[in-house]
Amino acid sequence: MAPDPAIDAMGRTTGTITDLHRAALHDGPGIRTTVFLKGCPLACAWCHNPETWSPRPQVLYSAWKCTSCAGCASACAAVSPKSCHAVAEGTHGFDRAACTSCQTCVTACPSGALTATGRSVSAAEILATVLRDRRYYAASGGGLTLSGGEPQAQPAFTRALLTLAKEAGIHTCLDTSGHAPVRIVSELAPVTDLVLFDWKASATRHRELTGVDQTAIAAQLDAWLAAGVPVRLRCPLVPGINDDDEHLAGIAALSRRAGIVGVDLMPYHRLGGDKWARLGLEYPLAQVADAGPDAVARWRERLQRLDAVAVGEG
Amino acid sequence: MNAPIAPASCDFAFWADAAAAPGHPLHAWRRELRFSAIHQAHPVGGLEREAACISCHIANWAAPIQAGDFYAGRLDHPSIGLASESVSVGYYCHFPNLERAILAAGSEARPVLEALKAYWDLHDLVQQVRRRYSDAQRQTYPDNAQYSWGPGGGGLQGLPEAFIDAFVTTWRRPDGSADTPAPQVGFPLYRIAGTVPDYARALSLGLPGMRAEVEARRRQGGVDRFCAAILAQLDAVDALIGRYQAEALALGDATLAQVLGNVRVLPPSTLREAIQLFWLLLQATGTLNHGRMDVWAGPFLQRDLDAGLISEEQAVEQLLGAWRLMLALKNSANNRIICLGEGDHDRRASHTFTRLAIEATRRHHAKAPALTLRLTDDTPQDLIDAALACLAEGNTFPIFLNDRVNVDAYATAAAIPRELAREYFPLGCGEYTLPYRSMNTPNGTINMAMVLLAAMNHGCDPASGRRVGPDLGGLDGCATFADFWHVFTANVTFHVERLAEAQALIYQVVGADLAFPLTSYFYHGCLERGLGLIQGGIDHLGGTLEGYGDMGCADGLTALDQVFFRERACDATTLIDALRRDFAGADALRQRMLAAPKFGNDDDVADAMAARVHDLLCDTTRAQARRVGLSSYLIVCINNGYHYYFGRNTSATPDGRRHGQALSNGNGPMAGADHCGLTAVLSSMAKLRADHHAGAVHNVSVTPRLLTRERARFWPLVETYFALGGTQIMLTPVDPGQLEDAIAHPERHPNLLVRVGGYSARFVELCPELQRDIATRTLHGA
Repeated sequence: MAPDPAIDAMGRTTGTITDLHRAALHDGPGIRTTVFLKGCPLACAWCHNPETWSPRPQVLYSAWKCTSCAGCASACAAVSPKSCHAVAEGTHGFDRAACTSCQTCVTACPSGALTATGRSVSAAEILATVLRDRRYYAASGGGLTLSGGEPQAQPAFTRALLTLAKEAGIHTCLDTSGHAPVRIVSELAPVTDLVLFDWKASATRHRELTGVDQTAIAAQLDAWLAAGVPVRLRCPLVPGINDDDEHLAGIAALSRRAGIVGVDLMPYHRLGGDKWARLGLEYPLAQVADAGPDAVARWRERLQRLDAVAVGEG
Repeated sequence: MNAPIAPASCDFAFWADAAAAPGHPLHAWRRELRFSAIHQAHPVGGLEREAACISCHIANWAAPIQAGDFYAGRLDHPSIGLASESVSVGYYCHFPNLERAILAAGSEARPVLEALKAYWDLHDLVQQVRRRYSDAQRQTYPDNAQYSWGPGGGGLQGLPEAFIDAFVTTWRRPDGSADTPAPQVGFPLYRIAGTVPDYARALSLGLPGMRAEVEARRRQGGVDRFCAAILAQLDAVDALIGRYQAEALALGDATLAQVLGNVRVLPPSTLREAIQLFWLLLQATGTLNHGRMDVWAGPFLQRDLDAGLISEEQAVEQLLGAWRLMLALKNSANNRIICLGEGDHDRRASHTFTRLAIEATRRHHAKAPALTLRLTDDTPQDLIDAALACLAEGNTFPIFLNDRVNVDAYATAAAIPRELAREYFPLGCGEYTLPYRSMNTPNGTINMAMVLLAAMNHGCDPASGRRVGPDLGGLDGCATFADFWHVFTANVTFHVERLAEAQALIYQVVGADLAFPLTSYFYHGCLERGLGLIQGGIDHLGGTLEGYGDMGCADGLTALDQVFFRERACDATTLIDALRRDFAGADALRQRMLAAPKFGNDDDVADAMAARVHDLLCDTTRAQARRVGLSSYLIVCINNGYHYYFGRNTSATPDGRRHGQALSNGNGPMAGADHCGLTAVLSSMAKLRADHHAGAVHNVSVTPRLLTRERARFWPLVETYFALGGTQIMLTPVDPGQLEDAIAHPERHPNLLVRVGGYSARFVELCPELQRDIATRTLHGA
C-alpha cells in the first residue's frame, strides 16, 4: 500500500499520480479533467494502465525507440554501485529489481526510450490545474474524475482532491474498482457526485482474472448505493475471457438495482499491451483479438434477454 | 541555325498569325504570341494596353465547356498573360514552361521563343519589382523565390506534401537552375491576392446594368479612360458568352445556351443564372475567392425554392456544379466561400443556402472550395450539427470562425469602424480583409525560427553558416535575457521592415502599370475616382505578412531564458555549436531545452513568452503601415504548408527542435510540445491577443466519432474555446490516409487524437504496431 495519509513537509496532502488528462471526454459526463492515481490492489489481465499498479514511481522502457546507445548504462553507473542498464551486442538489458527509479537514466536517454511514470504532487496543485478548465466543465456538465489505479488506495489524497473540487463547485466523479474498505465510503460519499464502479468478472472467476475476490467489492458497491451516490457500472468485457453467462447475469441484475444509473460496456482492446511491455511484463492477452462491433452487439443482445436496463457503451 | 532575333524587332503579331495554323511549330504558343503581340503594340503601357491585354487574356484562358459541366467556364492558364491573382501578378511569364519549350524547339521556333523570353524578362512584373530592390532587400532575399506554378498551372497551393514537392521542384536560383532552397529568414511573395468582386451588386445589376452604370459615370467626365477600360473588359465577357453559347449549342445543351443568353442581356433571375454570371465575372477578373455566397446567392436559391422552380435536391446539384468548377481552379489555398456571420442580410435565405452548401460540400468530398462558417450567437444548432456531420465523413470543411471575437478584433487591428469590420472576409489562408473595400495581399513570409537563430548567431544560420540577415549582435554578447531580447527585437524589426517595404514596392510597381479595371469597378471608391484599386482607388490599401514558427520561436526563447541565462547550462559557443550539429553529442543539453516550459500546456511561463513574441511580431508589423504608406499591415498566422517548407532548411532550434523538423503551425503549439490535453492547448491559444493581427488558425485532428455520436460532448469544447477568445478552428477528421501519413511522418501529426476503446490517445505516441493496428481498423470503418 502507498504511504498514506501523505502529508508533506509543508503540511500539504500529497499523492502519487501517473498522469493528469485534460479534455477527457470518456470518463464521466461532459468535458473532464481525469487524474490517474498510482497504486492498485488488482492486477486485471486486460488492464490498460498497468503502470498504475505499483504505488511507486517507475521507469518505463520502449524497446522500439531504443538506439542501444548505452547512455543509460553509463549514467546509471555514475550514481549506483551497479548499473541497472547494460547494452551488449546491440541489446538493451534492464535489471528492474535493482532500479530505485532515480530517473538518472531517463534524463540521459536521447531517444525517449526510457520514460518515468509516477510523480508526487499535492492536491492543491492538482486543483489549480483542474480549475483552469472551469468554463469547459460549465459548458458541458463536466468536472473532475479520479481514476487510476485505484483512487481509494490513496484515501486521504482522494478525499482531499474531491473535497477541494466540491468546495470549488466542481462536479466530481470517482472511477473505482471498489476494492477498498467500506468505511472509506462514508468519508468520500459527501464529496462524490458520481461513482464509475468497475464490475469486472463473475464471483466465481473474480480472483483468477483480477487477483482479488469479489466479496469486498460487492460490499463497497452496497455501501455506495446505501449512501445514495449515483453509480454507473463500468464493465470491461473480453471475448472468451470474462463474458461468461454468470457475469452477464450479474451485470443484468445489478442494472436493475435502484441507484445504478447506467451500465457502460467497455469492449476490450489491446491498446494497453504496449504498456505491459514497457514495464517488462508479459501481456497475458496478447493473443486475444479486440472486441469489435459484432461482439458488442452480441453482449447487448444477451444482456437484453437477461432484462438488463440502461446499457450503453463507454 | 537562324540568327537570334532581338526582342524589340521580333514581330510577335506576325508569328501569332503564323502559329494560328494547326501544325505550325509555334502552334502550342499561339495564345502567348497573340498576347505578346498586343502587349508589344502598346509600348506606352497604361490603361489602353491593359484593356487590350486583359481582353486577350480572358479569351486565352477560357477553356471549352466539358460534357457534364453545369455552367460554362473552364480555365486553362496560358504561360504568358495578365493575371490579377491566379498565377502571378500583372504581366507574367512562366519562365520554366518557356525554357522547356525553347529546349525542345526546332530551329524555326527557337529564335521566336527566345525572343519571347528576352521580351518578358524585361516586362514580367516580378522581375521589375526585383530590379527595384534596395541593397538590403537584395541581400536578404537573394533567391528568386517567387510564387510560382507547378506543372500544369494552379500553383503551389495544394496540400502540404504536394505543396513542398511542387515548390522544391520549381525552385529557381538567380542563375535559373533549380535547387532545394537554402535556409531563409523569409521572402516576399510577388502577387496581389484576395480580391472579391461585389457579386451581390453585380447580380442585381446584371451585365447591362453594370455597363449602364459605368457609362453614366463616364458621362460625368474626368474618368474616360478608366471607364473605357472597364467597358472593354465587359466587352470581353460578352464575347466570351457568345463563344460559350455556340459551344453549348454544339454540345446539344440548349438549356445552358439559354442561361448564357439570359445573363447576356438581363440581370439573373434564378440561382443557375446567378451562379453562371458569377462564374463569368470570376473568369473576367481572375479572382479566386467567392465572398459571402449565402448573401449573394442565397436569395436566388430561396426564391427558386419558394416558387417551386427547383427542389432542394436540384439546388444541391446546381451548387455541386459550381463546386466542381471551383475544384478545377486547382487552387485550394483560395477558393473560399463564406456563409453566416454578422451583417444585414436575409437570414432565412442565408440559412437555407448554408444548409444546402454544407450538403453539397458533403457530397463533393474534395479539397476545394473551402466552405467557411462564421459563427455568431444566433447560428442555428442544426447548421452546426450538419457541418459536424459533413466533417465526420472525412471532409475538411466547413471551417469555423468566431464572429464574437473576430469582428471587434479586426476593427481594432485594421483601425476601421465596427460596421465595416463585420463584413470581414478571410482570404484563402485566413487573412482578414474587407470585400470590395480593402486589399490585404500577403506579400511576405517570415520564418521566426530563423529570426531567432539569426539573433543568436550574428545573422547567420548555424548549420549552413549562411548569412540570412545583418549582424545585429549574438548570444555571446548578452549577459542577461533582457540583453538578448533586445537583439531579438532588432532582428524582428529589421526583417519586418524590409518585408513591409517589399510589400509597398510590389503595390507601387504593379499599381504604376495596372488598374485591374473590372475588379476595381466593384471596389468602393474606384469608379468615382477613376482609379484602380491599388492606384488610390480604395480607402484601405493594406498588406499582410505571413508569420511561421512563432510559437516554436517563443518556446526557444523560454528555453534560452531558463537553461542558458538562468541555469547557465553552457556558454554561447557550445550552444550554437550544438545547434549547428543538430544536437549531436549534446543530448543532455537538448533534453534540458526540451524540458523547459512549452506553449500549448496552459503553462503561465511558456504562454507569457508566447504572448510576448506574438505581441512583438504583431505590433512591429502593424507599426509599418504608416512608415511604408499602407492603411494597415498585419501579421497572419496560417498553416498553408510553409511551416514544413521553412522547417526543412532551418537548423536545430533552442526549443529542442531538430534540424529539418517542421516549425510550429499557425498559432498552435510546436509539434508534440503540448501534452496536457486539448483544453490546455485551447487555453494557451486563447491567451494570445487577436486585435493586432489579421487572422490565426488552429487545426485539430479528431476522429469522426467525436463529430457524430459524441458531438454533444465535443462541441462544448469548441464553444468554450470561442467564449474564451478563440478566433477560429479547423477540425480535421482522421482518415486512413492520414493515419498512414502519421505513421511515416509523426512530426506532422502531433495532435492527432484517436479514440480506441476507453480513451482517446495521441496517435503518434502509440507504438508502431498499435498505430498500424488502428490504421487498419479505421480503414475498415470500425
